[in-house]
Amino acid sequence: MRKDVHAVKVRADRCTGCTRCMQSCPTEAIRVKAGLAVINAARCIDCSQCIESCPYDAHSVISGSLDEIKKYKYTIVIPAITFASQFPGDVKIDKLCFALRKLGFDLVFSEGLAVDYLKDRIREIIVNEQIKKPIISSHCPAVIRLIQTKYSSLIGHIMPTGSPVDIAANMARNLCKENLGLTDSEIGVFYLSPCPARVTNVTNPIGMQESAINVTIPIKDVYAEVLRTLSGMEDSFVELGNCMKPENLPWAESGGQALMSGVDNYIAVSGIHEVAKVFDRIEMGELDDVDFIEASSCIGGCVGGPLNIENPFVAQRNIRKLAENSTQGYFQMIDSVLAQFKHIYLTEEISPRQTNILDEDFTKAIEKMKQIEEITSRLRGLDCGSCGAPSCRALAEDIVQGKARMEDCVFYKEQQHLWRLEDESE
Amino acid sequence: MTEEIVASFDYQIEKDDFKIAGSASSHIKKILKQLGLPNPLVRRASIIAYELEINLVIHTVGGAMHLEVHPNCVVISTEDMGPGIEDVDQAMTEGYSTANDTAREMGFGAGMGLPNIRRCSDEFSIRSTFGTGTWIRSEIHVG
Repeated sequence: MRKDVHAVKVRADRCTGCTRCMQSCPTEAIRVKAGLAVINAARCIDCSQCIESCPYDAHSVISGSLDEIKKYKYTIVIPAITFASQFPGDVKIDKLCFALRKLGFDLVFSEGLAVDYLKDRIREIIVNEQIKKPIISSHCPAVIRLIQTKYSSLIGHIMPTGSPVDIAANMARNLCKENLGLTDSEIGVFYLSPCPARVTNVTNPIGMQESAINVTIPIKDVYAEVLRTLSGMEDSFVELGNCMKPENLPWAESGGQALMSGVDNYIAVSGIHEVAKVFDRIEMGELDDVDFIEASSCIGGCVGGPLNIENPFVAQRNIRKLAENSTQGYFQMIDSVLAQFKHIYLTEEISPRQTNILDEDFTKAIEKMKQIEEITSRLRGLDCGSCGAPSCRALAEDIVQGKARMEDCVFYKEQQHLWRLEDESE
Repeated sequence: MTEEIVASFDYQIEKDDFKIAGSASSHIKKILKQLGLPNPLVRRASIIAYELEINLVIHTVGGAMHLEVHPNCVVISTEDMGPGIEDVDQAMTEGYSTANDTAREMGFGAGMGLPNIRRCSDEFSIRSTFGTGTWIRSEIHVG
């Protein structure tokens, strides 16, 4: 079994134990122990709520760096579709491609190329295939992990296709192997990511045995360097092989997948807490008449990823400007090799993560549930978080599972102290 | 004989409160998932709880919902303080509804509630006295 390793780590030097991340986590994966936030890997879905809620920048993303370029004979960079939206709408897309190559890469290959394949397939699958409706987009890894963790009954609703970045990574690899005679180990595929969920997906992939990506780098880590290159470039510059496909950029916005796939009967929901509310409704069978659910963990879609620089709503405007100002994207080598490319499906089953079940033995689980209710009724119900658990009920669960003590509750402790004083004075 | 272990939960449901309607059934769903019950059973129980909860909101002056989890079954029941059902057989017919316009505008009141609850239950009973109130009990077998 794969190790459940995630990209987000708490920095002990910055964390103050303030409990904000703990309160915002949609899977109750965080506890504060001895003044430090601790993430339970078995429950983490890489949704970035903890990063967004932290005022001290104490959640860092463990990712790769440009130094790893020299480990490979030939390097390909795949900028996330979101990448172009981080720059003003009047930037020339071929200049962006050149600036990326200047970072040291041999080839720039876009997720947008995979979108061309995917968008028609999504519509076909919705119309033709016998998958439970509503079909949930497989695009966002944090959303898939949310389903595995809290909504396992919805696993059968997940779109069977992979996400554009994984398809693009496989395409790029195949292209270089066939056209340049390179072997897999000689090729390094780098991804410029808008979010930690994609970083985790490289080391801990869902729906596939192995990721075709070798190194993930946050978009924000290359932003300054790209900006410097851009500002030094002539206006008249033209780079051959503009592959960013500006017409496919709306894919990075919430609603973009449905729009580009030509699906009309859909719900585009973004922000992980809102996604959870929609999933609750699907579980109740209330949304069976909807064809497609485009769910994104980040607000506004991938443009809202925490590893971006630009505000998601400004980025959306940049996308519109870019699409207006650019000619259609093209890629010289695409026809010959890519036309036969068929690897667009997830190859491994998506299985539930049983992290919330009280006990394997049903009778014992009932017994524990009774204890949880009894303890919860004795707690104040303020959900203040001072004990290090996100709610009084979560503390009760932790106590019953042997992970916390009643004395962790500050009110209980105070009460005990008062009783002791009363006893002594008698 | 050893005492049977039962976990029980009580919920008060307010009349006409559409904003929080569904919170009791969400809680029930969460509990059943935590107990490790299989997905199809959780789904049936959630539908029963939700339909019962909505019935209390739409049709009654308010009432109470109970969940009991036994080692071999899950029981969800409701009781309300009125007004009661005039003709229970008619109320159990698919498509029959007495819901008002407000409820219908919100997408409720299709007349499928009670038939749906009976369909999802392994055992179902209903008692109603017109002018007094209604008592409904739904049971799902475990294992």
